[in-house]
Amino acid sequence: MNALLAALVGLLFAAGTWLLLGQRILRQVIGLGLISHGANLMVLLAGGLGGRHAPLLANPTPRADPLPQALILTAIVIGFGITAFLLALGYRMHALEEDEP
Amino acid sequence: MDFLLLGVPLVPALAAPCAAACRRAAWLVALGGCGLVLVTLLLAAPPTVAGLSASAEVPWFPSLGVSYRLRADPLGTLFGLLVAGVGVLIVLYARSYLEHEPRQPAFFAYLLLFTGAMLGLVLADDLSTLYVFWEATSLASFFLIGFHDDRWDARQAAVRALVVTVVGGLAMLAGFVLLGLEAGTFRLSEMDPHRVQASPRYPWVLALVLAGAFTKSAQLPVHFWLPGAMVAPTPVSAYLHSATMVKAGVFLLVRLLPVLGGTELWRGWVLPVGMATFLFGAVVAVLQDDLKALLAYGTVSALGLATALAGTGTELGRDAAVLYLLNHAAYKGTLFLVAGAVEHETGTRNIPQLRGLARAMPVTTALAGASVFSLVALPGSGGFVAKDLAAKALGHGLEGWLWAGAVANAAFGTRFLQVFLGRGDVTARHEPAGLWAPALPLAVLCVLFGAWPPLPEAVVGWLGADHNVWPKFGLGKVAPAAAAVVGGVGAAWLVEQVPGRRRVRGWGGDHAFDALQRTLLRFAALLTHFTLTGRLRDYLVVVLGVAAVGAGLPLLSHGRWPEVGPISLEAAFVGMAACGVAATVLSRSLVSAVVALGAVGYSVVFLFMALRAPDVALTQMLVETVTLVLFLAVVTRLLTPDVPDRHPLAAVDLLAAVAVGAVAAALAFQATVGPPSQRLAEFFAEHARQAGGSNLVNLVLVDFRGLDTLGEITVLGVAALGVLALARRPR
Repeated sequence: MNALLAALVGLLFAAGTWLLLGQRILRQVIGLGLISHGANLMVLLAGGLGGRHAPLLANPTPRADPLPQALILTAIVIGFGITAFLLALGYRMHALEEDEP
Repeated sequence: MDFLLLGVPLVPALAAPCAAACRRAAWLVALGGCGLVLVTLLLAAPPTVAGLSASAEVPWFPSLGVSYRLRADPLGTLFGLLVAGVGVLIVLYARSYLEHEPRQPAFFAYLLLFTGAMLGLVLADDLSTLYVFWEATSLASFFLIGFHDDRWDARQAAVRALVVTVVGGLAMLAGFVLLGLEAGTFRLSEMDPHRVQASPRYPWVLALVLAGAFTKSAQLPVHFWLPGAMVAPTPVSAYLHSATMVKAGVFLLVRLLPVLGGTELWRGWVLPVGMATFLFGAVVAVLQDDLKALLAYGTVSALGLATALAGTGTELGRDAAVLYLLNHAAYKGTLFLVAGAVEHETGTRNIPQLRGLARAMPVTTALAGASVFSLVALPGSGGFVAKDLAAKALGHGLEGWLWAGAVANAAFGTRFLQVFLGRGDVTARHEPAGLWAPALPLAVLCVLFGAWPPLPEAVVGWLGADHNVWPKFGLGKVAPAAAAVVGGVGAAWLVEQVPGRRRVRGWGGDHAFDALQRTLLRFAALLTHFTLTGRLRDYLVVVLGVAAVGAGLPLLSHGRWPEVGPISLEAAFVGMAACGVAATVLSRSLVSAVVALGAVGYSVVFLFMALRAPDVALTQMLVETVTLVLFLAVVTRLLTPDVPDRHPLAAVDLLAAVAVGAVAAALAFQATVGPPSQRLAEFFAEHARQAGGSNLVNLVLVDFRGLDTLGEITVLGVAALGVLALARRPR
């Protein structure tokens, strides 16, 4: 299972890099989105998949490690902020290009 | 008292900013700085004569054994007195010479900086201290050569001098480090010559140190920077480029003679370079038409002889070199000051135009006569005493060459004196005392060195030698000297008749230097053009490629390969995500790419759920939805024309992408090898009650790492403001 997930991480990184190296900003933003999915999964993998239950106190052990999950949560939200900002930036660039004669 | 020594180089250096700040009295500050140092050194000299060398130090890098350490031994004190004494005279002279120069304060500030650096150089007893002051003199020289910085030739000459001396200085630094390691100490006075010379690295040490000494003292083939430095104001030429700084190279040879010298290698490398420079400089000097260029090549020649004398590696050679350098400082200093006075009063330095200045400038003429007297080494002059000792030191094999050099010296001395004789068109206005009085003490020294035996004897005796300095004035010595002068006068007359001599004036390595400089600049431009393309994609390829290689190489040797285990339910979600990725990359339309990205996001949501991370899955689902909406909102508004999406070198992109992906997969897999640490998870579980909750992930976010989340909220807020500002249509 670990190997399968690791392969998915690799796929996400490869596809994200490929899009990032292209020349259109929206594709680049999409590439960045793929890479952040890959990074999140990598953090989760690093925390280990030994937990049988979600990290709630009510659940019996072994529980999943809460720290990677918290880190990923933060990363998702920050990633969303970046995506939104880049989209707005792309939009404005396009608008400026349109205004040019 | 010993501690005062440490201040000797610092006093002029600290006076420099004061001089720069003074509008009118800068020269007084400079005079005070040099004078104070001169008096201190004079007070320090008597115990040195008695054999008590004062020394003092302040630790600098104690762990490396490096310190700011000075030592007033006879050699250092002698050169210190020379630097400070000539400095005083030069300040007085420069005051008159640069009377109408608006940047006079800056000039005196640079001069003071140089004086301080030079004093530190001659007194240094630690290799690092010596090196720092050595480079400081090069820097001061750079500013002084380029003092007229509105002129291209001045700037270029300054750059040439700086590059040549600093490159040599860097080689010397490497040599010093090697020397310090081999000797086991950086203290010059504590080095053991047997240990150093027995080392297999001795040839390297010697070659590197010699590179520094030869560049500083303008030996062949890098002599060209010195004649070029003549664009500097004449007081600078007299001070730095004849009396003191250029002597630093020979000084270093003399300083290191007890440690590195006395070997066949030393003699074989130093002596030939010195003799070749001596003869080359003298012959080229005769061909010059410019007063200062003539003197500059004469200085190259004199430095060559002094290098050759140090190259003998004997004590006699050392004493001859020091005596000759002192004499040279006296007569060449005077000659430069005379040349400056001539240029100041007539407006030209061109020898063929200048004739018959004796009438308008009688005192200057007398000074020139006294110094040329010493230059051509007639009996009774300091030059004769020094050359006599030089002949003894060089031995029989080289006397013929020495005599040939003497003829050339006499020839350019004659050409210099010519400007005062006969009748000419250019007339001097008058002869201000400020332009001859400072040269007077030096001219007196020229004669005194040859007429008053105690003086040269005292100098050599101070250095600790006991051999007889004073020559016997037999016919066997006087006749060759006189013959050399007669030959020199004849040669000077001959040169005047040669029409093609002007062509030789540009002869030197400066053209080669300039060509090298241009090539280097062109190479830099090419490199910049190649590496700084201004395209994001190119930088990304480099950054990601380096990251992939850097992280991938260790994995190749230390990584573990996965074993195929039983496939579980999550595999379905992985497959879904993979399909989504493929669709994202391959879809032609932007809208379908965005939708495919959403599919990838939702697959990841399922994965998170399967991997027992419900909070993450929930958040991811919300964010994925909003992101999809945002994307679609933007994409549907943009109807971009279909620009070519790929760089022509798409294969490189593909390679980079595959490499990054492979390394990421490998890294992710390596992270799962071995049991993860549970310490933090246990800590959170234990303290959950205190934090007041039961969802551990939530507790981490809002309690254990609450401030982190606060920062995150701030970032999101700022991003939202940015989006708002950007999303408005421009007016």
